[in-house]
Amino acid sequence: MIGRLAWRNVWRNRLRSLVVVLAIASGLFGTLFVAAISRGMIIRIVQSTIDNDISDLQIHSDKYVISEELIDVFPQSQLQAAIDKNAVLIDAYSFRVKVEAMATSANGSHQVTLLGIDKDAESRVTGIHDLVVEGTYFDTKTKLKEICVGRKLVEELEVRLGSKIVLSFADVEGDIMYESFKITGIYKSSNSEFDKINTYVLSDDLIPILKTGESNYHEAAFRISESALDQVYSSLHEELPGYEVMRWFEINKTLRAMSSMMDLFTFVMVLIVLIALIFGVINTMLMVVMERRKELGMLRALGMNNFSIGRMIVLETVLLGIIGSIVGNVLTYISVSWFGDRGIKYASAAEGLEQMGMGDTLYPELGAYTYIAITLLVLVTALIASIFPVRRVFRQNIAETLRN
Amino acid sequence: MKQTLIFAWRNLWRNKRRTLITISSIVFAVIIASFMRGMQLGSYDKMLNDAIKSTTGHLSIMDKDFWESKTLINSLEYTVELDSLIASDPSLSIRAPQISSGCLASSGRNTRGVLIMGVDPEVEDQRSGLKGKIVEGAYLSEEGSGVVIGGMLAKYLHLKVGDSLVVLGQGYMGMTAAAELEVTGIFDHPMSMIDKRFIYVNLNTARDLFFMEGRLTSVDLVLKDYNDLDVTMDKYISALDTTVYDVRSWKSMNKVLLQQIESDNFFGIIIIGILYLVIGFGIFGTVLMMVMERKREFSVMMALGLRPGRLVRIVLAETIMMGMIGALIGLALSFPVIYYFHLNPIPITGENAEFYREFNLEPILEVAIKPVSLFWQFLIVLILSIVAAIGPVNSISKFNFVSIIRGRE
Amino acid sequence: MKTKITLILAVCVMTVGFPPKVSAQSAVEIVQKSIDLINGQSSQATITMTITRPKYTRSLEMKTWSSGSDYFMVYIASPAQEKGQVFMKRETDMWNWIPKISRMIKIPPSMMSQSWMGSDFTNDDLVKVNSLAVDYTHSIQGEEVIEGYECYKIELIPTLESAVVWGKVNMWIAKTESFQMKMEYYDEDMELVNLMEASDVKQFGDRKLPAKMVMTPVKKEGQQTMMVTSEQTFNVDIDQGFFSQQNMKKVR
Repeated sequence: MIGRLAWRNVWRNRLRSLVVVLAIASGLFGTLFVAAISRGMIIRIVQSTIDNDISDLQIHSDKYVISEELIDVFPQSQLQAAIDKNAVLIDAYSFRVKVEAMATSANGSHQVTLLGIDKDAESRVTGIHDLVVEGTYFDTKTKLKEICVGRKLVEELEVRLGSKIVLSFADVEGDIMYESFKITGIYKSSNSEFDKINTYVLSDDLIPILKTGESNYHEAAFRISESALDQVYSSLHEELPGYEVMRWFEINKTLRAMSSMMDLFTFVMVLIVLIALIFGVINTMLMVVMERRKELGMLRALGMNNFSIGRMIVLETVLLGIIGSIVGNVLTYISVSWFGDRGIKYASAAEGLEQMGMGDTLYPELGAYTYIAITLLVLVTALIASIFPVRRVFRQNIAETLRN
Repeated sequence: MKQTLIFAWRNLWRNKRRTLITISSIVFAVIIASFMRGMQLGSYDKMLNDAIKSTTGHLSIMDKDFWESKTLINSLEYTVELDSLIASDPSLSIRAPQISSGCLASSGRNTRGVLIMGVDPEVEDQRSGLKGKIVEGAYLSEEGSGVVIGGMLAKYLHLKVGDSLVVLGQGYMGMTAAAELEVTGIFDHPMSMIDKRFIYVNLNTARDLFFMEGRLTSVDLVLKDYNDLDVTMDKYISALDTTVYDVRSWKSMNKVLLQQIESDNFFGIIIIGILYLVIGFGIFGTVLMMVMERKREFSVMMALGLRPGRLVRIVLAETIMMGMIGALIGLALSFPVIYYFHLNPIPITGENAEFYREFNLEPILEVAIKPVSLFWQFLIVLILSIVAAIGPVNSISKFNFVSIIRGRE
Repeated sequence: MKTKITLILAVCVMTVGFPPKVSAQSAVEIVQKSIDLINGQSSQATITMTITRPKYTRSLEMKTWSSGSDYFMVYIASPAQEKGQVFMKRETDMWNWIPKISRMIKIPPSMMSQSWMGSDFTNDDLVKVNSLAVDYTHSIQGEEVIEGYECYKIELIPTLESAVVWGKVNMWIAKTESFQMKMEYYDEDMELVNLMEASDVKQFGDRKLPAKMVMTPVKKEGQQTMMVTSEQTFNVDIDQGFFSQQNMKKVR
């Protein structure tokens, strides 16, 4: 019975209900959007590093991790069994040979990391093939060996698409090799430092020169979804003694630090907005209760006791809270989607941010978990915020009624 | 006009509870907004001080060609005049002379390109906490020619404390720089670039190695108060011969940090905008309910002949007065609140504390005291309150006071 | 009888009508000859290198030994801070002996493209001596007089697969004497990057050669490196055993 009363009260005075709904919806929208923006920022950096650079998980031989020497390759066959065991959980994987090299042109030279890849496997693991802005991803007809380099490196060496550059490096026996490659693809990621250093060639071209042996590689990279990561990690770690298996946050410790610090800051900001919300709701509810004095007095006259009236008001608040959350969530979803697609462009030049890996636009993003968590938080907050004014005003009402 | 104000004022105090509730809305709004902005500004301060201190310093004096081409050929002559200029400047908290150059480090069969940083050991520790990062052996000292290297470099070159490594490179005027140096300590640095490739030595060692008598690659300066940046920079530019020297501010040396701060500020403004939105709705709700609660009162007044327009002006005056009182009290209370948190910053714990310490930042949430900013919050919330109140107050003129009195509304 | 006379006549005509002239040499032969002239079977020399920079000028004195194009050794005689350093090339490897710290270093790939002793030559330049003959296709483009010598102007275009960064190289080689008088190095966009000019021809042992060579990186202001050979003898008695790490420490 109280439930039905509560429901009808909500619809009877639409203006009053609207006010409370708006207060709650705006609080919800506020906190969610803050969370969306900071998540967008950190995802950009973390995700793009994972997508293009370190992947979710990498495997190297124990020795290689320390020495980084060419000779410390591993045979593909040794890993294949362990990989096949986890095939269901692994989204994609690829093998690479890796060597530090000097890239030279007529006008300059720069130290680079030369990666020999399998172009198909690699395109499933990293996003480089999508980031090619000029030329092709190993699809150009040429008699020379193909190389795909970053735009920043092209600028450093003062060359262009189609240029021939010479890479020098030591092979597995320590002899210096000079090899020419034709730049058939130029990529651009959101991190210009990355672009300067990482160069890609086909492992079929590189392995014979390095003399490290067919089907021997330095590195295996994997894409694994967040939920399966730890499981795959444990399994691989167990199956492969003598190998170092590392997850993305072990490969790049700063990412995790940044992500964590960002979460902290977001939490603090959300907390502050919630506090503002509490005050807003308390004051609004105080006013609401004061405005309904006459109506509530009548209910009491009709025999309803304070406790029931209190429950009715709390129930009304719950209903309004639910409606408010729906409105707030819908509003947030629309804004986040809209801005999420278009992005919010930074006012100033993006050069420095590109060095950090952030690109030049902010894309807000929100996961379902965050929607639910913050909605619950806001609802509970609003609820608690509404109980106090109700109780206080009641006590005063009784005193007034008695005096009257 | 005066009548309006007197009525408004009297109305306010006729129903104290209602007035206090509305005023308190605004008081809290100002305090919360001030606190949030204080935290945001506090974190920028932190970056502007701590991050800059350990990387480039606020200002750096170098040879005019050094920034474009960081070779030892473009090193600066450290004259007596320059030294006394810097030594006598009271606005500096840290003076860091440096000799840095790339070269090869080799041990046994392994060779790697490294960056040698010749520093004053005490000063470097002040800047980056290097001493605290030593995990094996000992830190650098003023005497001797030992080096400290990162854990990853030590592993790659198979070096332990007490082993020696060979450095080879080019010194001033292209002379071959070569030396065998002893590893006195190994540090653990969170930034892998430094852990893998930086070798620290004291200035004398670097000077001997690179033939840099009386020369440095740069002198980094850290200010006590970063607001002194422009003034100090102008001072050095006018005191030094700019055809020989270059005085650079961190803004041109560390564009990444500058843009990070700018983007954080941008981000911060969006967040505080959202806060204003929430506050605005809160005040709107409060005022609307206040108006609704007084429907009968207003209708009676209008029945007695008070014109709607006049009533609206009176209520508006009430709102403005409440706004001003609330904002002023809020402003007044903001000072002690912010001051308290400024002196007792909220500590950061757990994993996050570790991260902060690794980057040489104190693990606290700093709140900055900036009177100007507090005043802005006061003003913005005041205006916000008035704007939020306009809607509800205007609706009074649309009341059908007859129906209200009759109890049908 | 008739065939015999025709044959003799034909031979006479051929020898008289077509005297063997230098222009019958192919461009690559001209280039190879100029390289062989500089190296000889083996050689020993004393050279002064002067490095000019906007802010300073520096001079080094050195002694060099070479055998064919695969073996080469340099001993730095002055200034005092550099004295005693030895560089050695064995095929494509380069070694550096530094007496100051008693260390023998094998020059890693990352250093090969760095400047040698602060000059405008790179370590690579010292190592890839025969590159001009092997990594390019050659064609004669004309004739010019340089320093009073009539020279062929030869254009060198890198072969497709060669590990060479230049877009084109021009060489001026004296027609009769085979001196390398001038070289221009162009990048891919055909912009001039390096210029080499030789002059001051003198008699060294059994042959004449320009004593002075100046390398100028055209795009960098105020920079050049000058090599002046004060003594050189050719086809000296050095065997491959001379070019060893052991010997690097002993040579003076």
